[in-house]
Amino acid sequence: MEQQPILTVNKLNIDVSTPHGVTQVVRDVSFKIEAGKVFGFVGESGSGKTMTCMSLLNLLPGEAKVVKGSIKFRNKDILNCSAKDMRKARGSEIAMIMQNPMTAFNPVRTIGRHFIETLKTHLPITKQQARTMAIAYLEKADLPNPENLLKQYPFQLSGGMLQRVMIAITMSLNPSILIADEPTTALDATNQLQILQQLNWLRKEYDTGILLVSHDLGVIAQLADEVAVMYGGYIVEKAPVFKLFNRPMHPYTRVLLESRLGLTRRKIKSVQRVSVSSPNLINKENTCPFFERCEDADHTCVNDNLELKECEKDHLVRCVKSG
Amino acid sequence: MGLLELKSIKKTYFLGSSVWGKRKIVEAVKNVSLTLEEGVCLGLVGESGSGKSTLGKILLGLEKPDQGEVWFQGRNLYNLKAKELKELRRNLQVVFQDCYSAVNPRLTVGEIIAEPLRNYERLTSAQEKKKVQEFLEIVGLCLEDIHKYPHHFSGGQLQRINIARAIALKPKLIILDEAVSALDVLVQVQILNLLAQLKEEFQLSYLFISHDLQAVNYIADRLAVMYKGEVVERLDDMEQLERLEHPVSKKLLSSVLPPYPSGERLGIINNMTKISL
Amino acid sequence: MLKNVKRQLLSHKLMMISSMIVFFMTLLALLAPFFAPNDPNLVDITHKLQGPSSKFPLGTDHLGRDILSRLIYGTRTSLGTAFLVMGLTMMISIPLGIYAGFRGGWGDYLFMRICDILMAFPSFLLSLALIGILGPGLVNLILAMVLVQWVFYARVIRGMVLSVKEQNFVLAAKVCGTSRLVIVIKHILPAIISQVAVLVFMDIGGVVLAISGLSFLGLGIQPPGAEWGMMINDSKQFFRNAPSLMLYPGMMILIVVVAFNLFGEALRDALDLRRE
Repeated sequence: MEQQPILTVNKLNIDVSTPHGVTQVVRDVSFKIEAGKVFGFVGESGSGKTMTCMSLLNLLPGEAKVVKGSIKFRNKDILNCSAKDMRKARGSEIAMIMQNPMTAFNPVRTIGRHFIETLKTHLPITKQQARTMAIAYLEKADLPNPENLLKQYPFQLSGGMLQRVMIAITMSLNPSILIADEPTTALDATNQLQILQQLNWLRKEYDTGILLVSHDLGVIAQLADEVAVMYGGYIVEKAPVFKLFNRPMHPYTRVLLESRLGLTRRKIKSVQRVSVSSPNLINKENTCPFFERCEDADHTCVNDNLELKECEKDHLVRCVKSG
Repeated sequence: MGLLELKSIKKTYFLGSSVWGKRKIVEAVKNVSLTLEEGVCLGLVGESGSGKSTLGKILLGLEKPDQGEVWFQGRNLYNLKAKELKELRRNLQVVFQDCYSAVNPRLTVGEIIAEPLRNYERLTSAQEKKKVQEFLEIVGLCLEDIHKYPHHFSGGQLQRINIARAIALKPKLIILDEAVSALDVLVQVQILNLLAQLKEEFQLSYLFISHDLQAVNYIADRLAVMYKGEVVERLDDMEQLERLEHPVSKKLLSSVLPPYPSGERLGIINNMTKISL
Repeated sequence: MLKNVKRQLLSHKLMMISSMIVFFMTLLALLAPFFAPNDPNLVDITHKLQGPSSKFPLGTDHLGRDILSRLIYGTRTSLGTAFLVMGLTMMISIPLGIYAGFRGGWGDYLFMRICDILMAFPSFLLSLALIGILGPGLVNLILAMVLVQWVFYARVIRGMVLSVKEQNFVLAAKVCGTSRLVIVIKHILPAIISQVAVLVFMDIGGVVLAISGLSFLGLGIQPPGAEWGMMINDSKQFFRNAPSLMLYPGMMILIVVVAFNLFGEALRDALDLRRE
């Protein structure tokens, strides 16, 4: 059964103006998020993941601009949405959780105040109702001793706990889309599982569509249904999770997959081939962004019109050598 | 006798005002004894707040412990004259997690790497430049990078610069305090490989402090697990990682995500024994 | 977006104007004899309280002295004294602030207690009292101001040092075996010096104001030397007949204070200390 996607991003291009010129941070990015599905974004820092997330909320910083493409939330065009409508949609329809939960909370306010105020700005309820609701959601999120938790200040909780509170707050507004930008990166490995479990539960229980951004393939492997690999602002490969892990097509995806550490002690040699420098994003039209670091690169990779091509069903790759 | 020996180290911090109000006591490290032999990479794992980083600072001579002794190369680190300490420091270097704040943004890469050399060796500027370039090459950077400033580099490259500075004096021991935790996965592996290669080349010993068991497992020969200021478990053979017994170690083990998506994804979470700590 | 651009333009304009004024004032102070049309201290009772004329572009005061020349020489006194006060203050504050911040321990404790005591008094009153003890005069004025001010700046600098000291690159330098003195010179001083410069320029207007205030009370520069505060004091009895006598030096004080303040702010933006 074909589902109607909640969020559709079509050929998104974002430019950032820097003192050294215009950098093309996001190029030709298209994807869809469906209800109850998790869409994973993998890529290194600077690959354009965060900029894409910010544009979904219409929260791009001043020097960044969407130059082409569209973002549709249900039938609303987000890029041309009024500031007021956008404010309303943020939180209740499209929510976001950040990499560092410490900075998302005001240190001088209790968790309870954060929770209740968020509820009251979005829902027509009294303070007492909001409190009851907050406790109920903290309980649902499997957090211990919710009554006591509401009285605590952010600094009294660990990063993992705060992230789980953040998810509980998000959950209470029942958004259709949750953007999770590196939700576990700043946390200890031991908290990672709980967060992922909670996200999984969120999509199952509330049918929330999740955009999961991470540089860690382990996280993606656990939760995502469909994965896009980003490199140098482009989606270089997009496929359902099992297909991507079993049959990676793009050379970058292959290197990424080989570089996972896991708990074996074999030495990973393939990463050595990938040179140290990062891709240069300034003025690069129609050249493979991975060209300089790719081991298979040759003359056919230059000046070729690169498109995201379907090489098997639902499996798209941006590489002239594939397929 | 090991290269580095910690004898019942204890460090307590007092937070808050001492006269008014309650004083909060944080026992960051309580009674830790550890030995590190030459040529070994000891991995020190634990959650944040378990006291790993405090321990690292103590054995770098940056933070005096309340109790206990740090013996390095047969000398007590906190019972030395300034001159002797300086001589000893030569063999004891560090690479921090935050590669951006570990380099002075106002100095060029050349000056950053030359700093330890200037403190211990009298070199002409030509000799110094040659040596710095030698180290740049060893850590995989270009020779022209010598004149650039830190903001021109990515995190992985900066970490290479930090490593170059740490090995410039050819030390015996390097403390790697979450040295790869802030980097992208791919870069992490590159840096870990570099560290492993340098260890052979310069006969180094490492104390690898991290919260990530995967990274520790990749590079370390031995393991110590820290929890709430204490070493709760030790392992001398990394091949037997699965046999860790302490609940904290088990929790760390179970938190490592499997590398492939399997049929019952997140199943491990459901089956995971809930350890209340 | 537009707002941002507008703000930037505005700040650029302000920066241009303020730095031009600062530059011009400094030039005026340095080359006062060249700019001044007459001898500022030449008394000529026959020409007293005259309006503007070709010989006296802004008129004369109650002793027949040329106001324009006195204003120009006043720039020299006011700015020169202010820079001297700031310079001497920094010579005390920078080393002491760095010592207290970097070394810590009982020296720092002692320093903080001295700060607590000295900062409990309003600084202007404290300098008044000091001049009262030392007696009026330019040297005593400078001495009194420096003695009162240094604590404040030393404390601010101590705070800056504390935040730099905990940076990893300072720890790394320690581990590299770099001596304390070299760490201070190579790592700490360069990291704080731009912030200190901003502080100095933003506050120099205040110093000018304080010097004028003290001179107005007759505690600073003694007659016949030209100084704005004293000029206001001299002319207050002729306020009704010749209000411009008070207006000119007042304007000069206003312009200098505002210009240096804006210049300090522009300097801060240019160095972009907040983003660092």
